[in-house]
Amino acid sequence: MIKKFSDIKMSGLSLVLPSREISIYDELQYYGNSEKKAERAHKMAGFWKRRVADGDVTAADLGVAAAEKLISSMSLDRSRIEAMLFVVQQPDYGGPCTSYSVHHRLGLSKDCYVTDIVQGCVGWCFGLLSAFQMIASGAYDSVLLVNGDTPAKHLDPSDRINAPLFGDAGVATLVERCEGSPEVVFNLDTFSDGFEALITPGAGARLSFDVRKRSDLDELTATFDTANGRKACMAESYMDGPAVFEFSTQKAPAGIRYLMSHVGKGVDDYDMLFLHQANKQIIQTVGSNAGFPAEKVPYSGFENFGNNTMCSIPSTLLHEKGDLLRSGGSLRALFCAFGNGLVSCAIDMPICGMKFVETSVYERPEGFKTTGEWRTYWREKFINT
Amino acid sequence: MTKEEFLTEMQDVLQTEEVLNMDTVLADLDEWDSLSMMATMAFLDKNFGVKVKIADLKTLGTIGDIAAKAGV
Repeated sequence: MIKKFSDIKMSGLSLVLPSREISIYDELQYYGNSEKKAERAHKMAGFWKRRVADGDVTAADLGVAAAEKLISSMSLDRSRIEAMLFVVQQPDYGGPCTSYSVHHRLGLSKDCYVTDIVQGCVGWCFGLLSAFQMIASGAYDSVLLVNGDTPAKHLDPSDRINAPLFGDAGVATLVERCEGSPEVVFNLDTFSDGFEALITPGAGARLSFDVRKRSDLDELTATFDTANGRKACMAESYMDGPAVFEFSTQKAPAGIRYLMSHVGKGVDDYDMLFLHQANKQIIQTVGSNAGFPAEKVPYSGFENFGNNTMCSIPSTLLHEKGDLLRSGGSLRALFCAFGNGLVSCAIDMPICGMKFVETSVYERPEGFKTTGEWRTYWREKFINT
Repeated sequence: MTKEEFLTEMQDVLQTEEVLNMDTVLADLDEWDSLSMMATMAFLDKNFGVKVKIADLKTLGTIGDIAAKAGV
């Protein structure tokens, strides 16, 4: 589904990465202690470095850090920020929206519209569409889009299927009305027949595990054998590998081609195609199926930061073109994210004259509480009420 | 693609230093792992338009069996 927008642009982009970087070359014990074998994994799968947050740090923490950086660097008046969207897969609490907590931490005003958007890997592209729509309606002149995800922090390094793949990050993006800004076109495709293909079934009302009941908790966490020999439990996320691979490599490129034909552009009209950094093989296959030469389809985000889900496109954009964008330069960008839903979102976005672009490292703010301290805090709240 | 070219290509696909021939037994190859299977799937699709599933690949015995899938 095509949506076109004029006179609206992305003017600020702030990426926050955890300081802890793990390289597969520091994990040779998983590669038969052979640097050669690690090199092979690097070459074939693109595994190299990833950023991993500490266990106490949540998606909201990374998102708030990115937003703080953007707000102070762009000297935004917090009392006049009209809308803030927080895109998240793992909210801080069961309810209310984590965006209320983010709003509070950022010191935004009562006039600010906030809400969570629950999305996975398409979260930055989908969030941009939401922001553009809000401004196009005429009701808002600017939207602060905040994204965060921590898929990596709880992974056991010995899980060699998942651990080398993922990374953690937070992103804040300022989208604002700007007369004369070039047209930005989105193509959003929704494939709900794939709803069960990539899903975390355990933690919700459908399976209704009541963790206050020992019997339910046992059932949720009990491990059992699967057909391919590994152990699973109901608390995990589930993926139909072949279905997701088929979706990513067929539907995402089709969505890109459809967008390109709609705007009447060819491969030569774009400087780069920034894809969701699912893994090197998917990136190369999607890029090739969309008709792009390999040099225009970077997988450097995956190699340097891991698949940091919804933050992977901005991570790659800043890694490849951060200096250019920082100097206010222009870039004919094509973005395409695809993820759980199943959903894919492609964006034709000519970027020019950005006001603020930065990648920084996460630092715990003053007053940061560890998970243990938060548990104590809430226990005491319950006790004293 | 000739058989010789296929063998050279497969050496690169599998990222192995072993010189391959059609009788090379996959189970004997250190490098016949999940990385190689994914790379082989992509190679067969891109170069021959042949789509093979992982489960299918796991049943193959030799490099020659892969070549047969490719129609080489």
